[in-house]
Amino acid sequence: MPTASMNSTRGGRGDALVAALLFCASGLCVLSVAAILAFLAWFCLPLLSWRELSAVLTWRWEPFGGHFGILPMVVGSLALALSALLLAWPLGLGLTLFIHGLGPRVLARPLLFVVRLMTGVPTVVYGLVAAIGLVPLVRGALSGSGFCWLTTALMLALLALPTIVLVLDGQLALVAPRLRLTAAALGLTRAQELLRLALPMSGRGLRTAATLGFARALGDTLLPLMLSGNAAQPPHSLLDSLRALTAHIALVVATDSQSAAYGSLFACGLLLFGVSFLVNLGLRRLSRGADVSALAWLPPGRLAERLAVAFSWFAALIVPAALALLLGFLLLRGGGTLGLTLFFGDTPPLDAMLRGAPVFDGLWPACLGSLWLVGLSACLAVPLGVAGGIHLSEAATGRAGRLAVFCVDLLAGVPSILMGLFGFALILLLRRGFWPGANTCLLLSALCLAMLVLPYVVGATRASLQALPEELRLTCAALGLPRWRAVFRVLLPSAGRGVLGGVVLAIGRAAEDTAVIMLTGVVAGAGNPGGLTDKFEALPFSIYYLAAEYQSPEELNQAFGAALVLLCLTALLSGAVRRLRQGLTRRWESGGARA
Amino acid sequence: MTSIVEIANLHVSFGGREVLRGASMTVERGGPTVLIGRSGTGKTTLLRAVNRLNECLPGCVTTGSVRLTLGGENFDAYAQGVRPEELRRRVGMVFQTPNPLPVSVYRNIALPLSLALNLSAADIRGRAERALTEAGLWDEVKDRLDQPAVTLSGGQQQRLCLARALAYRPELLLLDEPTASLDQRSVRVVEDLLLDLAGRYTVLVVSHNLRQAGRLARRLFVLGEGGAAREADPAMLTSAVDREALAALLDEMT
Ligand SMILES: Nc1ncnc2c1ncn2[C@@H]1O[C@H](COP(=O)(O)OP(=O)(O)OP(=O)(O)O)[C@@H](O)[C@H]1O
Ligand SMILES: [Mg+2]
Repeated sequence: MPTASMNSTRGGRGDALVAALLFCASGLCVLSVAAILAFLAWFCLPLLSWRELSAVLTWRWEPFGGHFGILPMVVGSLALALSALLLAWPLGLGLTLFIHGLGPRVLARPLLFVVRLMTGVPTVVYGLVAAIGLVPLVRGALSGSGFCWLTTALMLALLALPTIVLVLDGQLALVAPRLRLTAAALGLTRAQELLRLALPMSGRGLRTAATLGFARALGDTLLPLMLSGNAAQPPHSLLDSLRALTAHIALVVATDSQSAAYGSLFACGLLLFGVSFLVNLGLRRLSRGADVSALAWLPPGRLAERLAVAFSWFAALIVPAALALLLGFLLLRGGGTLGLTLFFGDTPPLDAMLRGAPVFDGLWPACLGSLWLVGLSACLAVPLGVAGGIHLSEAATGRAGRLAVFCVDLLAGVPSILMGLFGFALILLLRRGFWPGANTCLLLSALCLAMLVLPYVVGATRASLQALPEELRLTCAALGLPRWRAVFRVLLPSAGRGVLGGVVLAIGRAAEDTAVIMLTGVVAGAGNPGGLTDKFEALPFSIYYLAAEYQSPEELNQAFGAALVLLCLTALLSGAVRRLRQGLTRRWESGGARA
Repeated sequence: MTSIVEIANLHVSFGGREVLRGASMTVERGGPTVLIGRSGTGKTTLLRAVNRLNECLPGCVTTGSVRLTLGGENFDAYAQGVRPEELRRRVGMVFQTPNPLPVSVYRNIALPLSLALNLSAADIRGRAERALTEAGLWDEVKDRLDQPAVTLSGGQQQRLCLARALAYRPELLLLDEPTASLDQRSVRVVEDLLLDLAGRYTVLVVSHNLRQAGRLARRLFVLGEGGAAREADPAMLTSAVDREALAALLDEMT
């Protein structure tokens, strides 16, 4: 590049420094993936003998009897994810087709809005509502305890649905408008256009949606943990209790600390990592390979079309209805509790806020804990993520660049429980090594959460930088701006809204995550966070804990109140992301015309 | 002569902006009837009003009357009971730019036929070959029927779209600048084809080329700003002087 070589006299050293710093940032992203993998592998090493391995790959999990088989959990995870996908994929497809024209046009936008809304619902809120509302229903209508495969699969389907719909919507939005006029001029109905022409051309989107939906259902910890009953045995019917790999990790870390179980614990982690690796590879192949079209699985004839339309109406009714029921239930139970007592219990609010008076039965310590947690992890993830994103977009090329991008994608797809497991393993290692007193704490949680949300910031920064028009770069070069000055003074501010969108998304994710902190230092009743190395409370964990261990109806209502607070918080944040994104595209549409 | 399309006081607007303000025109059987006008005056919009295609575009509002005579029956195209799909199956349309479906050459004709008309495979094969022959494309594509349609040249694609419309055996054929993407020689081929087709179908052609209009038109309409359509004498197109006058008329109406 001529600019780089010619201004090497003045800007050269500074440029080199900046480039090195940015390189370190994206290197850290790669390192964190490597670290997770290394820790998992390191703790799995003892399993590498035939005896140990065959002990883990068995069907019996009885830690006190010396049996550490994880196969029931493997089966449980697969059963849950596949059944959830089997529910969510057709429903998502029906809903998307409804939005794109099988249903009345006026309903399209509201439905898409509902789906976007669903992406902002914290998992723990779903878990709470299902545990208190759905489980007794299942118990009453069918049999068993209600904590079973069926309940969990239903909720996991609801969780994976927005992912599926948004992918499919993107795909159809690419394909369908081009066909619209042609198909209409040929006298085809809207249903024929969508079902017979657009869908066969959307094979890639259909498969991508299925893959992502599967990964979402497989990677979730909280719903299986709260709803499946967690019996470590392969299920024989939909009403049987089962245990997922993710929930298994959380349970083993939470309940016992005898190290004999750890080998099998990390084997679970390694398995989950392997699956997300495969999923990521699969997505890559999908996006690169040619689109194999002609997926003519809809039998010919009008009847098939009518049935498809009927099904899409069904999907468009059942999904919003389910969401409305859930949120209605939440409002009903939690609405009444909103007030100062919910936050401060019997302690005078001012005392608690200004003088740090202890609060015993209010959410205040959990709110403070969450605030600290989110603040700390943002401080870690945002600078690193933005720098990494800049490096990936502006400087990373060749094989190293591709590897870094792959690692970031992989990190984004790794189940959150693995970040928690990483933190837990770190403490184990420190204890064995030079710091025997090491324990899980606020700082550790923040660190692991930062790893969780890092890919959001990196991805958003990279994407919005790359979305800038090429002329802008050329203009900067023509004006003789040194490369990095152009990046920091012109390109980054221009991409500001997109970057900010990623940051807000990361904050929302950090605020709602429960799986990571569960393994890295959150406890119930820790009180106000004292210091970085102390245990702490957090809002989502309080909800989880109260839902599982409530002693009185008042405590349960408190859980609903907390869920309502968390829901409003994340809804606000995801609303903000949307506003930022819209602003960004609008600005570039008008800015593009001016340039 | 009997009219097949009668447009009266047609208003079409997109997102509140009126493109056609009270257009009126009649198309008689046979033809070709040619519609000329400056770019952006609403020729495409007027054509799409006949087969109700404007409805598929966002923010479009249509008022006024479009009466069609199809199958010996005279009816209002925008009446309550008329299904637009049914209507469009009987009114073929070829777009300004080639719009093949992303399937093979043969499937481009066969797929719509089987979906819209529910014909048997044998029927479809017969109609496809016939239509490709009518469009003057059969000899060029008969060995590559299984290849993707997008591998054809622009002119071949345009004729494929024409063949696709002909395969429906429509009573009325709407052609929106069918030679816009063709070279001189293909233009002649298509023009001869249209004259030939006009013996069997009623053909309504949009053009903005006065020479072409001169070669094709049996009846001529000039579309001005806001869709004021005025009938003109096709004879005006044959001499250079009259063409000047017509061009002046176009400018004046714009
Ligand atoms: N889908 C649409 N949405 C908004 N405006 C439209 C739409 N289609 C056409 N218009 C507007 O209607 C006017 C007439 O368009 P139309 O395509 O009918 O012109 P035309 O006479 O066919 O022009 P040309 O000779 O360039 O093809 C134009 O000003 C155009 O901007
Ligand atoms: Mg036009």
